[in-house]
Amino acid sequence: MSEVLFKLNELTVRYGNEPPVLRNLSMDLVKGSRIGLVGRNGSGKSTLLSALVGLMDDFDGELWAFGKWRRDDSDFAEVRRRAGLLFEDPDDQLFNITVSEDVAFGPFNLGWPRERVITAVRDTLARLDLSGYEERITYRLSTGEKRMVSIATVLAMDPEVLLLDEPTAGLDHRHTRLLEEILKQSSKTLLVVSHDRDFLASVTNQTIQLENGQAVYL
Amino acid sequence: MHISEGILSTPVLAGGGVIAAAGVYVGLRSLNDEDIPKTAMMTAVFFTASLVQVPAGPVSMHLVLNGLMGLLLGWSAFPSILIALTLQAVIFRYGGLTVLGVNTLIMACPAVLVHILLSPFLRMAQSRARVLVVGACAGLLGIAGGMAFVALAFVLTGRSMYGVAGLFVVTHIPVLLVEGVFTAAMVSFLWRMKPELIESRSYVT
Amino acid sequence: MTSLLLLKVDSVIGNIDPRARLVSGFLFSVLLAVAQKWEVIAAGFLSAFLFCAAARLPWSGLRVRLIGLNVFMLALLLVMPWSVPGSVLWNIGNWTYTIEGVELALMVAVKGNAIVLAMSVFISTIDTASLGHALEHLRAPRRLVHLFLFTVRYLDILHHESRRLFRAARARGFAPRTDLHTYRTVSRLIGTIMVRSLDRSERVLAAMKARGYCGRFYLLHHFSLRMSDALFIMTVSVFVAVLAWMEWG
Ligand SMILES: Nc1ncnc2c1ncn2[C@@H]1O[C@H](COP(=O)(O)OP(=O)(O)OP(=O)(O)O)[C@@H](O)[C@H]1O
Ligand SMILES: [Mg+2]
Repeated sequence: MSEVLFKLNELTVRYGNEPPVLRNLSMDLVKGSRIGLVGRNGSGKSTLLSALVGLMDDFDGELWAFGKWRRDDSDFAEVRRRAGLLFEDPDDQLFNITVSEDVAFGPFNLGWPRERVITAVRDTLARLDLSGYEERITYRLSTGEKRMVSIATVLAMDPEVLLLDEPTAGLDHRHTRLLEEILKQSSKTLLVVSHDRDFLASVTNQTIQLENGQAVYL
Repeated sequence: MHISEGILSTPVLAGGGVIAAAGVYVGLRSLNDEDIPKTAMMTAVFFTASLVQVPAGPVSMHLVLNGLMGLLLGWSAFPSILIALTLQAVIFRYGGLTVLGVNTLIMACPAVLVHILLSPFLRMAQSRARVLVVGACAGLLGIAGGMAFVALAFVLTGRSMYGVAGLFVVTHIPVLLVEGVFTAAMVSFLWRMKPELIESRSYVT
Repeated sequence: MTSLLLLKVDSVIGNIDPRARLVSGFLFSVLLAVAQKWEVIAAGFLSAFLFCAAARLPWSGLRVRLIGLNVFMLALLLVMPWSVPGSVLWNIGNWTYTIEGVELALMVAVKGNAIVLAMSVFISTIDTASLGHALEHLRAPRRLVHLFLFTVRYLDILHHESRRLFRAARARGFAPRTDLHTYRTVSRLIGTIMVRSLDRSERVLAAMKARGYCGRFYLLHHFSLRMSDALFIMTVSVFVAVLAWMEWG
């Protein structure tokens, strides 16, 4: 029996006073599992990923992550260091001036020494075929380039779990293949939202569908 | 940085209203119709930024950013600040209508001062270090000027307010320092990301 | 996501013409700010309170604001009496804390609370877009009104955007502290919002021009006074007139 990294118990999440987006949702994310998350537009996939790292302001139900029940914002600080969330919109993720500064932001927050951060930035950019982008200004990148840099900002933190929200949206064929290879070779736990069935089939081995706020294993 | 309702004397409130109206008039004159969406966007950005809390030692504080507004907006800082304060008054019920004029002056006069004194230096600044210095000065001048106006409003109201004026100045020294650092960081960021924002005479006017 | 602009106030006052509310709120606040007599201030406080109760204003929002205000008023009570001459309550050397000072501080506190109550019931119940239109109808300068309306339009977008950016930074382990890293990060987050928003406002302007904008907005809503508005104006006028008579009459 492998270790359970995330456990959701009757999780209910809503925005403001609207009807809940996730309703009494229960699911486990086991260490080493590779899960594809699918569902219609607006079914709550992005909401679920945010909730996992405690970014939904309030939720009902219980959430277990990395060995503890988590409730308050302070409980989630550790979760956010250990699980990397790629946002659906790269404009949410990038706000520093240059690409290398943005990639370094997360590792600095983890408290790594400068040399290690510099190495991580260089290596991550190289892995993602972004060498030469170090001093580019993030705000002037194309949509696909922004996506690749966002992915770099998450991978650079070397998280144990990758929560990826539509990582291939806007990527050309070559970059999609590259990302596919990287994820296939990695042994990290994966939860990937994507509308690209082929991509999901090649990087994950299990599928969960969100339907009416609940998780259905396919 | 604002004064609550019910504290200032009638002449101070009335005088503040009249001077602020004059400032807003000058500010509106400097705008043309095409500038309105941009100025409004800046107003909304400053309003949003004023909701952000930054930690300053044991407490956290809201940003004021009137120095930066002066650098970026020039005289249109007057209408912009008036609108931001009106929205705060309506949405959060902060210092309301009767002190609106005085509160506008408190923020906008230092902003215009920053515009007149520091914008030329910013346009000439060639290195990041100089941009940082001008930014820090703008932040410091914006708050120090605001503190001076608050103190003046209290003192003009009467002797009974001298103590309050002193308390206000002392409690705002951390704000002064944080704004200095923060405005410097902001200006240098904008200088690198969107230099035309800084280099043009003042972005909007 | 909470919207900054939609203070859903389900109360009778929501149906009153915004212009009437704006003018009432203004008159009421000015009168209270100017008043010097205890009776007037107390009566003003009481009537503002009654208006709030009659409008069935939700207390939750009001409470937060009143607590904030009164923390400040408490500080005033501690400080102000030291600089008012009068009969001494305590002294430290030459410094005296006087009864007159306490009285003055209390007066300021009651005034402040009364004005906030009046603002809350008369003006904070106007949604911000109607406020812009009300200002236009009351002949505020056209550019100022346009500036106001555009600002209001952008406010929610920006509030939303700022929350998203700050969330994404937190997801990457950002926790605000008192240090340079925090200030730099926050300044970049705000700077990013600013730079992107300006680009957006240029696109907005272009799109507006494409639809024939040339510096004029046309109002879709026209207000017209109804019986209930007239009744409201009369009620408020009576209150204001009585208070004014008590002060100067
Ligand atoms: N900030 C918000 N405020 C209010 N409602 C929201 C907000 N964000 C999302 N929602 C609502 O929550 C529901 C789920 O949104 P979510 O973004 O999680 O969907 P999704 O499954 O990721 O969809 P997509 O495939 O389009 O990315 C939607 O109905 C949406 O309208
Ligand atoms: Mg989504």
